[in-house]
Amino acid sequence: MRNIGKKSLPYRYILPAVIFLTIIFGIPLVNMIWYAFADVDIMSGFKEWVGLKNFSFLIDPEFRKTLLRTLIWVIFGVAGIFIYGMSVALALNKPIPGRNLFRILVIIPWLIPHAFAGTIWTWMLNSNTGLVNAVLMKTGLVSQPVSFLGEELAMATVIFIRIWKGAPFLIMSLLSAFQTIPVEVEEAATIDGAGKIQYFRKVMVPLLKPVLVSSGIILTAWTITIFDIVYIITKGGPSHATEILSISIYNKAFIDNDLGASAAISLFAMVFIIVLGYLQMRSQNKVE
Amino acid sequence: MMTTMLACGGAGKKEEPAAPANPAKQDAQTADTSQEADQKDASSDEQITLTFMRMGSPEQATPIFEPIIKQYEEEHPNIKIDFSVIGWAEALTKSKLLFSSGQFPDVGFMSQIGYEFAEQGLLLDLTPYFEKDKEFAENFTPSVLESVKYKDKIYWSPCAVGAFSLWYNADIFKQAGLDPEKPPKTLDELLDYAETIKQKTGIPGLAVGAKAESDLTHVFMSVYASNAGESLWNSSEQRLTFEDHKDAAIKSIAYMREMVERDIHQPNPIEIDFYGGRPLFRDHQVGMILDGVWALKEFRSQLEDGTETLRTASFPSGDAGCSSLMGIGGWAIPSSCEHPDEAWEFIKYLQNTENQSSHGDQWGLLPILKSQKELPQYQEYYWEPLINQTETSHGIIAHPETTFIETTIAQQISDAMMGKQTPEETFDNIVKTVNDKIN
Repeated sequence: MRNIGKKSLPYRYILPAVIFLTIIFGIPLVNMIWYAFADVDIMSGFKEWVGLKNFSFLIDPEFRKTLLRTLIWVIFGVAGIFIYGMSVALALNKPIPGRNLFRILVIIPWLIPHAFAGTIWTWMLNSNTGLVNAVLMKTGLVSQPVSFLGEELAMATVIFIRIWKGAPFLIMSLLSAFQTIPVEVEEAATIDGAGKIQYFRKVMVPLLKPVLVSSGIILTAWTITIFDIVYIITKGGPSHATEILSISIYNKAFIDNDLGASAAISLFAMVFIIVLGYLQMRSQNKVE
Repeated sequence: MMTTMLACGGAGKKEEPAAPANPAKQDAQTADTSQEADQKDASSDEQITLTFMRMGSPEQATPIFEPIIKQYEEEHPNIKIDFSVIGWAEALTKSKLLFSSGQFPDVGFMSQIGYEFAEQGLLLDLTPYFEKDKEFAENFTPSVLESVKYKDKIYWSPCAVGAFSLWYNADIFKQAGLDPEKPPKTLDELLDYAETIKQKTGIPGLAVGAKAESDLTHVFMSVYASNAGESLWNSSEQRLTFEDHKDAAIKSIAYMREMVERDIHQPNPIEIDFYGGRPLFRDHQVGMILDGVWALKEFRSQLEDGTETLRTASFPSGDAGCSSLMGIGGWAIPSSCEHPDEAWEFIKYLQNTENQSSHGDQWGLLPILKSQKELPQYQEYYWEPLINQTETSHGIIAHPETTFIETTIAQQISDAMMGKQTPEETFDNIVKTVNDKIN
């Protein structure tokens, strides 16, 4: 009896958290799966079962374009965060003057709410009244305002803003992870004749891999599901140029009044993220 | 975002029926409720809290309504008003979520997104209240009260009315050698004037917004109706009139394209909507904008500086005359409201001459009450064209899928303006997409 009580103790400790998480995540998840197979809208609620009809988006050419745009958004966004974030983290790991101040400054983008960041960038990048074009024109770098939010550059612009917003998370994670690398390792590598790049590639990266993998999973999942900042800046336009999965989900639910199709796309996105996360974690387990 | 949306347990789980089974029964219940309210003592001891919402910005709404609320609470000690503001960007989303959870305020601002809610029985039919309070009803401009009806019923008491007109800068006109006393009267003249301004002064003649927003649809609807002689939307038959006036439709789409093709506008029109031209007009960086009375609040200091530099004129005419789009927002009561009579009394208070004028003056709204028309504040030079515009205006698309229809039209017109498709392709896409949705 005492053994059963002892064995069940860990489960009893985590039970409140499990109940809480079930309520917070489980109920919407069940709702989402249920809605994905039904004709349902936000105000009328459930109307009838429709089987796989809501998944017809998978063969819609427009959805394939949305998926492609989402992949571009995720790949370049996450890669940009890693390149920029790693560079800044390495720089801030050096004993440079004002290092602590710089460390505080790099966190600021992360602290700014997405909605506020989106509004500020929209204002700054406006062709006619924005600060960025005013500076570019004044300095003679351009003779005409650059249409950062026009069709050609809109995706690059939102990816840039994503990198600006997301990099601080990676920077802080890496700065913490750098502290776990013993100084002796760098000294030993130097003695063995390793250059800076060799040291980075063959010593630092393998030691940082667990952090890089977990950060990569988190950043990828976040980037796929980001809605507010893109919506505020471009609303998925112009001409669908920045319509990623999350915008598509919103439009289906609130513009097309089709919560079922919206749930189906959400389910697709969730499965995609789970598969991606599984593959990345498997890759980490292999290394370990 | 997905979790929040799908956690809404309200959808499909309402405790009360979403739509009254018998509208006549609803009318009878409303009338009965009114009679019961009449019989109540005016100084009832029952403490009631009414929730009240305006769409817009808190910075704009709060100074207008806080004094009104304070005064009302002093005059009605048993009533407390709980005020909130919903931003325009989230108006549609938040309204749907509020209705799905049964939490839409007792008195809430409603606009064209409300037809969907009215269709689902989520808004109280205010027609019996208007019929009962004849003095209140007769103070409204008849055309406004008529235009706000949906399926012959009134679902919101109109308080925010505006129609697209032409705003122009007299100084820029003079610089370009144009007579400020003779603003463009036709759509063709509008583009010609804009071109002259650009050529002679280097200043863009017309602020053009090609961004796919609802105001692009509204400008297009104004152009179309001015060419076709009929609104884009047939309310009684609940369908597009595009196919009835195909030539006018294609001509109007081509006109929108011409706005971008000709060298008359500010750089990169795809980045802004038509309302986005206001800062440029305010700062004298553009000669003309197509906008309504809502723009007034942003130019007030210049309008009242005595120079009469910024002026208003009628929306330019097309082949069939002038017919600009008129938007009508107002105060609605949800059908789930527990105190509809008290909510109605508050609406009447909001719309007495003094409060409606205060709201309209500070917000930039047309005077819609007969009792407002002679007030001194509406005698200024810029008011007359704006007020007269309502006589040559038509209403917004009144259908449960208004949002979808407006978004579709906006996207298609935007693509046409940027040269991504021909006017004919645009016409076909609009007709097919809208008809597939509504049929």
